[in-house]
Amino acid sequence: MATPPPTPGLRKLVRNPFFILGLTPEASRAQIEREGQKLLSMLQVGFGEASHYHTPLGPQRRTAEMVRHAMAELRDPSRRLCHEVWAAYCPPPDDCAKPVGSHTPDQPDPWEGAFASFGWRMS
Amino acid sequence: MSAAGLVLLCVLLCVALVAAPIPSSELGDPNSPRARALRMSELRLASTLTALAVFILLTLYVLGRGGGLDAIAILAGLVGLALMVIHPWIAVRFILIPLGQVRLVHTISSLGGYPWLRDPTGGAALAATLALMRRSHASELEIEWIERQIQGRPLRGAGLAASGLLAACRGDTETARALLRSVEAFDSERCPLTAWRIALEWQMADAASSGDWQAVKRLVQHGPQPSRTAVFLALVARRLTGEWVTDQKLVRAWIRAPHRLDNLRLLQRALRNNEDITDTPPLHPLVDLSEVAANGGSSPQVAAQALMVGFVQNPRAGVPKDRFFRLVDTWEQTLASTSLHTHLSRRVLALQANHSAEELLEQLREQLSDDLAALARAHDLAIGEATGSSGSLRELCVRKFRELLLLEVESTATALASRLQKLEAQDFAHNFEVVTHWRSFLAAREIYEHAAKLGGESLRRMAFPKLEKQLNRLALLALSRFDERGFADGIFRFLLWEAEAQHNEVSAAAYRHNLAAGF
Repeated sequence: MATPPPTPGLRKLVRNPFFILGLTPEASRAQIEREGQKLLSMLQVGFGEASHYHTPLGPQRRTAEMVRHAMAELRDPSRRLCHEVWAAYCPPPDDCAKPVGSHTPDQPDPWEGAFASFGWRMS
Repeated sequence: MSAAGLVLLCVLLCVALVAAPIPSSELGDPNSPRARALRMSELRLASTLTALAVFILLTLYVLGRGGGLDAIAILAGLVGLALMVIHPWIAVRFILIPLGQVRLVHTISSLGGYPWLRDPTGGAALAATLALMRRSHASELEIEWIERQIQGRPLRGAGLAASGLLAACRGDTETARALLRSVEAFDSERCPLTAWRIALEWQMADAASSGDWQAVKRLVQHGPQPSRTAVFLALVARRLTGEWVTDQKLVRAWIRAPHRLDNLRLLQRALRNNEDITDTPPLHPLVDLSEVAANGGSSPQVAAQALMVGFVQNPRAGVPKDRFFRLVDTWEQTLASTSLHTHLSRRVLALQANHSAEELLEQLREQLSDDLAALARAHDLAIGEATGSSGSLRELCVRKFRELLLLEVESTATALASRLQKLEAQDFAHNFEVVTHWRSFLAAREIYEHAAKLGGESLRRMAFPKLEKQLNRLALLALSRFDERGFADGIFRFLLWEAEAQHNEVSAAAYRHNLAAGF
């Protein structure tokens, strides 16, 4: 699934190292290293399931570069603490997938033949 | 013999009328587009009168000599041909444009006449573009050929409309929208009414094709007298947006407008919409999962993040500005909460971090203010004039939001300055890419106006001087070096409007003077 770039201001949430590695903030250092290596191997082999990770804003694309960066970020205790705060909220994947407030009161009602109405065959 | 002499006398009178048109009303500048357009109108009127007079008198002469209807028919044909040469728009509009004869349309339209009196060059290009748009496919070669006809000539309304339509032919809808929207920025002296109408019609079609019927309604209200198709579309727009329009009125407008078959489905949709209005189901209440999480969250930061996610997933629900400030205030409470402080202190010890919990909280606060300001900017929230207690997250966030807006205007001004520097270094013989520079002006104006809208009056006052200098420089350069009066006036008019809105009398007087010099 293609994912759009994160909204400005949400990079820390969407690119959170814990989400990239698929771990909770309580994960130990050993767990981080193990999971990181496992993901790198999976990405190298081309496992489809490793190509995306779950975030509160829906699935995002995962790359080997992102995994390496996430591991490096979590090795620094101060940086890790900041990321822990941002990784506190992660609803179950099913809830994230639901379009919140999916009703659209201003549903557009496009008219495909609008240009033809003026006699123009192309817009 | 006496009849022949009378005919000759009448023809001579008409020729004299053509050669020496009645002087126009007093005009400040005889070389102004208006004066030239008036002189051309007078010439064409006199030529038309001559053709008709010759036709009537020759008809009388032929009848006097016992000629039949076939001779009169030949005469009528010849006069019809003469009228088409005098008023090429008749043949161009009804025959050549529907046939898609791009080059022929351009050649014949270059003869001038109605409706391109105030922009003959641009008008010929616009007519050729209209012919191109009748084809199922526009080749790049032809688009470039039309563009070459506009380049190197002073930009006026019709030329600008042609450039916009050509951008649309290329599929560059954003540029087309910007250029066609700006046609009305041109003074009526330099913009034929037909060009303005065509620009508006394209915008209406564009809005209708994306389902923005409110925009269709708005466009028809502020333009010149709408065409029959525009009237039909406007009625449909009113109906589709819930206004009361009778079925009879809609059907009458559909019958009057051309391309009835193309419009039939739209008419049917509009007629059906009447039933939809009466049976509109009530909207389902908004269920925001993130709001639920925020209210029942296990920790303050979970509640704040849930609100943040909810805001991003559904930014238009409720009152976005109020929801955003609720989010900011929730983060403020979260950062001040003892539970987060305790949690961080515990984790600092557990991980043996070299920063204290207080330092981390300060770092978090700084990052959050950046993120929240970026979030507000990404969702175009007008929070620039909001206030918060000194040192609060809200105050910090609003300050950074304003800085972001100012930075956008500053970057635009810098980019303009660099382009101007290159332009000034060019030699005089170099072509002035007027449409490209006009597009830059429009982009800069849009960025400034958007920043002013989001940032409020005080930001507008700070941002204007940053842009004013470069735009003024661009206008003066275009005017002094390339004689682009229409281009320069468009910029001066915008600067005047802004200077007056900000009660900057000194600047306003200078722009008034610059504009007056053009008449």
